[in-house]
Amino acid sequence: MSTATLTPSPTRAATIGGWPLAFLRGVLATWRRLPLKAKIGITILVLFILVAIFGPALAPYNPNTTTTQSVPEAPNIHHLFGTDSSGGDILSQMLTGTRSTVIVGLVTGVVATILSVLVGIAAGYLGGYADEGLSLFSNIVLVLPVLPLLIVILAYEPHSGSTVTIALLSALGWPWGARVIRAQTMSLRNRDFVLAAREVGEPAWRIIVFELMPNQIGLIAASFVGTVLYAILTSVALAFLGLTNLSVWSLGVILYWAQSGSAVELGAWWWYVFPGMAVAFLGMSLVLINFGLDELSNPRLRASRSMRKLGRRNWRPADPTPVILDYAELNR
Amino acid sequence: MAVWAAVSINFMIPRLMPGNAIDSVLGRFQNLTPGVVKSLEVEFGFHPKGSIFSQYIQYWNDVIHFNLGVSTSQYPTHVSTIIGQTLPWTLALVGVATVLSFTIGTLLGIVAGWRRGGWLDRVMPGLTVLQAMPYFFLALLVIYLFAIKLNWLPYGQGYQLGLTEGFNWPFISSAVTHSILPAITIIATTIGGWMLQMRNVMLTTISEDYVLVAQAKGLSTRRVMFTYSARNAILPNIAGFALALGFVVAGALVMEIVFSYPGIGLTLYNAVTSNDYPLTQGIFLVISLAVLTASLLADVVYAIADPRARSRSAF
Amino acid sequence: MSTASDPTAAALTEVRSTDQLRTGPAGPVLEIRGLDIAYRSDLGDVRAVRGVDLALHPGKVVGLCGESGCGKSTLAYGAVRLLRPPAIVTGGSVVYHGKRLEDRHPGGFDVLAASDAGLKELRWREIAIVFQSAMNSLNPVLRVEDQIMDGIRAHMKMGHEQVHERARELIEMVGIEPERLRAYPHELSGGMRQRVMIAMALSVDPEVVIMDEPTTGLDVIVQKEILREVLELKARLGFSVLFITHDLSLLLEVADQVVVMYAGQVVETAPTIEVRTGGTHPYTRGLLGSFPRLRGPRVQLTGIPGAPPDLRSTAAGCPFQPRCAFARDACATVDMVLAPVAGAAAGHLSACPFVAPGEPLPASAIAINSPTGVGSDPGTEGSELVLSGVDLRKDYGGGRRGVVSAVKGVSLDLHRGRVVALVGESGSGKSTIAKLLAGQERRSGGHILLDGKEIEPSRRGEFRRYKSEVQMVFQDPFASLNPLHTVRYHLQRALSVHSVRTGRKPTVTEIDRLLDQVKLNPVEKFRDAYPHELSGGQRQRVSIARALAAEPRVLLADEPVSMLDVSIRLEILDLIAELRTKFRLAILYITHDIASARYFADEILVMNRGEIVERGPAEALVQNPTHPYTQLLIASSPDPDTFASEVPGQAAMFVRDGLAKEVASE
Repeated sequence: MSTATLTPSPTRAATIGGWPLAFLRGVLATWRRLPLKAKIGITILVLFILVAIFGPALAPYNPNTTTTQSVPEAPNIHHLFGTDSSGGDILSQMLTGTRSTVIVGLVTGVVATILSVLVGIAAGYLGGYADEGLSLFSNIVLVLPVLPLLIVILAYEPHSGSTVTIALLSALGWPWGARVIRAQTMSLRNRDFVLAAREVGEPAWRIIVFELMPNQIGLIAASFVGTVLYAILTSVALAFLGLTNLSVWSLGVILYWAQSGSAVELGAWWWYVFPGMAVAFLGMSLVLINFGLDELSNPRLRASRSMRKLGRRNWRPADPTPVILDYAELNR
Repeated sequence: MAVWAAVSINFMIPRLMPGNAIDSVLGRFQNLTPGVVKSLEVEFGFHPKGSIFSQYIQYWNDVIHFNLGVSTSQYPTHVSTIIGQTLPWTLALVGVATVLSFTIGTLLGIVAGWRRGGWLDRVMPGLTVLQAMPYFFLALLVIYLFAIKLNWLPYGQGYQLGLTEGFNWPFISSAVTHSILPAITIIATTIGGWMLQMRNVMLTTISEDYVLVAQAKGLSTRRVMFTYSARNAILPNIAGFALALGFVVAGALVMEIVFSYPGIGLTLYNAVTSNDYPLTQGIFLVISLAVLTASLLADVVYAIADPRARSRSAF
Repeated sequence: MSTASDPTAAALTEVRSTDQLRTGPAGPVLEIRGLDIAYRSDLGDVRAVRGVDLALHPGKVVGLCGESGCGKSTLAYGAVRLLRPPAIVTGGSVVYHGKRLEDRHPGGFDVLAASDAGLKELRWREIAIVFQSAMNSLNPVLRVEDQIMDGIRAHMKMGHEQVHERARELIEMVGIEPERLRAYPHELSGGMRQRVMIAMALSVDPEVVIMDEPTTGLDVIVQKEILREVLELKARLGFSVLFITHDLSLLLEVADQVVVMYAGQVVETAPTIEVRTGGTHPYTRGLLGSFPRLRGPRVQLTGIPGAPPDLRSTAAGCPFQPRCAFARDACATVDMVLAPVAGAAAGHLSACPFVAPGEPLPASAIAINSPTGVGSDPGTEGSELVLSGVDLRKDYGGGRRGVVSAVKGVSLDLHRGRVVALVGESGSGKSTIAKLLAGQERRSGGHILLDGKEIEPSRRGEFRRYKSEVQMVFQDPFASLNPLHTVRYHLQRALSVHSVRTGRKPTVTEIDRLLDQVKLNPVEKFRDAYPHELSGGQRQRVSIARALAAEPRVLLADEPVSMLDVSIRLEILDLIAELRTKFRLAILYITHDIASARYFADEILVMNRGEIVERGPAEALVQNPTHPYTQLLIASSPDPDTFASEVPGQAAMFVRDGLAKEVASE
């Protein structure tokens, strides 16, 4: 997802040959430029997406199976991640439940990012009253406490499915990105190359799509990743509180049953640790991707390997200029 | 403006929801005579009379006078009374934890940015991974480890049951020990964010010309680091504080539920699970207003901290 | 003033006579020997400064000059160890011989061996710096007084009252009312901020002041005032100055000794007077030839073709060879070594062993395609009028802040084949006129006539048709091309937007034709390049090619060369002049530099505060300015030719202003 959106140069690619090949090459070139953190993050995220696609088919048990037992079973050879108090296999529940968690995250990410790009660029490019109106609106949505609001709204429809959750999360999740994109658009709008494109006689839509947007890909990607993280954490929290359709498995729903089944008091750590860690890993992958994107857009944040150690010591940004008169020592 | 939006949303939600909320409330009270139903309707503020517009005016009037109706689950306690009992717990815990987290995180960020490549700088990514974790998951782990396995600290409730509330030593010490685990959870999950942002802005600020000038002036390292670098680098952090409050509050709510901490979050949860609509809405209103107040405060602090913002608003 | 026992406070107010300066220590106060500075990068080290020697004598001004990237600032900051890693000093020595440190460091203070604490002692107290951009070099959240005072407190033991008193003295000394001490930097104008910076630098009476482009970005009139103050203060307080600038003509006014750098090395160092008469090294001569003069006959100008080399390369030979008009085969193998120039004054060294002073320039050197005969304006007869602005007005703002009139009723006519220059300082409204004529902004009043017919360029329907007649070239070639698109994309779009009218399809042939017109040869090399792969001059050529794609009749050039290095400016102006002749373009040349207008334009309009104060044929206007503002503008512009007959060793600016006498009699 994010690798593709980073490909910078459609024009150059078109000159190299057939576009699928060029596209692949572009993806590869982008991948190579990415900081290590982003690579790790993307790898974990892709793993989760694969689980989301194939997980339900791989699940060894029907996650809804119940047995007569009344105590959760610790991890063993039959149930690698143990069972819940009614005998349901935790691993199978996780393999099945990852799908809905990932879908909520990604779909919300896409919808909210589209909204924030639309609002941000419109406000930034049009300026004037349109800008003031849109900014005010997004600032209002921004300070609304999202989770309490969701709780209040969902209180009326406690067991609605993920569609409602996605809709609400998207409706509340766009302002942050819109704000950043608006600021960037405003600074780009008065840059000479945008004025020059107008000077050439380019229509406004071409300026927005071909001059402004490509220069914001990094920001849009970062906003997307941030929104996905927010959507996943919030939806898991909502499910944990029981404010979702509890008959559809998701990572949050497993945690809900663990909580309501007093897993902590029973000492059944496997019941909440495994799904919890899964959410944590998923979140971590997104945080890592955003670290990477940050470093990509602001090279100062990246410690150049050749700089960290000069001669025999580490130098800090605010130190006096290092003096290493022995050039050979420097290259050691 | 945002206050208006929050109140209006609160006004609109029950009116936009499918199904008749009154019926579901009344469903809880079987065998009522029509007269009682009528009086209950009036009392819960669910009786729609007049146009939407006049209802709206009436609603504003009620809000201004803190007349938020009567709780259905704890009938006949007033919503404002319940909020009055629970809000202090949340304010004390979340407020103190958030301020601590912001202060410590920012300080650590200053040091990490200044000593680029030092141990703190290298440990930092690990800390920020904590923020990717769901709040309540960390809370569960903390409870399991410190309260159940090691039995170092208590959890559940705000203080040892049976103690009288007030200014007496057993009560205060009990309240404090009960708040340690929740506070640690809040700090652990939010500190990384403040630290990372502070560190990143520090790195950008250090390469500003005025920091170089400060060094060329031969000023003490402390002055260059704090008065010149950190003083400027903290501005985006303050601005971010206002924006992040919503998330902090959200996390704190879930934390209260996990710890059964007698704050407003737990009350909200209980209200939701028992279909206590007046209480739910009242709490949401209070939370929105609290977040708004805090973010306005952050704006004021920003204006004080940045002379450029001050003169801009003077126009 | 304060305590008489405090030597520094006394020193500040005491006026030292010039005799005292001469009897000071004979040796240099700052001595740099064989300094090497490199920037580490993953792609290999950039050797920004290579084996530079430099000596600064007490009470003197040494001018360090060269184009961007030549290492002049790296040298100065590296010498006081203010460069941030990944910059490293990799060789040489820097020794400071200050009177105050003599007892503790008898052999001089070794800067490269100093500890962090030792450096704190050296900085500001001994060597102070005036930084380049005053906007960014003052802390935006501290009051001006706090920033002046913390420097004083760090180096002197003084009570709060004394420090405060000192700050007042300093700020008055640089000509600012003491009330402004309470101001924050953003509340001051650019000139004032630079003055504050100078006051700060002089606050603890340093022996050496490094000035890094102290007046770049300021208007010439302010620049003149500030430089005069600096020289006056220098005469009074007796510090020495290392003056860094890209503007050689400025150095000729202020410096005693000129050091010219190229590609990290010193190519020539000479007493100012010897440089004024022509210089020796081909690069110095190229630089001198790049400045249009304001006085004397309109001589041919020579630029320097090409661009500076990549500093990562370790190739042997003279780095200037590829651009040198005198280049010969031996240049590729002979290393540059500074050697005394035969027959010249002492202290005149050149790194070129082949070229002697006064040797005539080979005919191959480029020269500006001067539009008309010297001093004569062909007039407007026989060239039809294309575009005129009548009584143009532009107001900004409104509301509580009140209305600001940027342009107050300006009229101008552009004829085919003629260059009209609009000269003014920043804020004069000259760029606003370009934007109004280009249709980028809507005018508040007046008329725009194209071929005699009124037109509203900013209106939706008319804009594109108008654009096919009137095109604009932007100031900053680094900003005017989208970094994500190739040269091909930029030109292709411009061609296809106007293809209906021009009948030219956006084909490769057409793109190549455009590239060839702006002399980007071989075209294959540039066609698919991204902007970051091109130099500033090349980018500006692409910008011009893009403007030509519409086949316009009018070209608006808003400071088209001010962001470029001196040596490249001429090439671009030359190109525009050539295109003017070839396509009979009507050109509006907007500039702050009246000297370049004299060379490039047929007619000059001088603009001040939104109005045209004087207009006339270029040569006549520069020779006989009648409006006081034009006179001030011309008097403030640096111009090496005025000093041909002056006393060596004296700062030229003083001589011209008669200030030297004042200072001496003080």
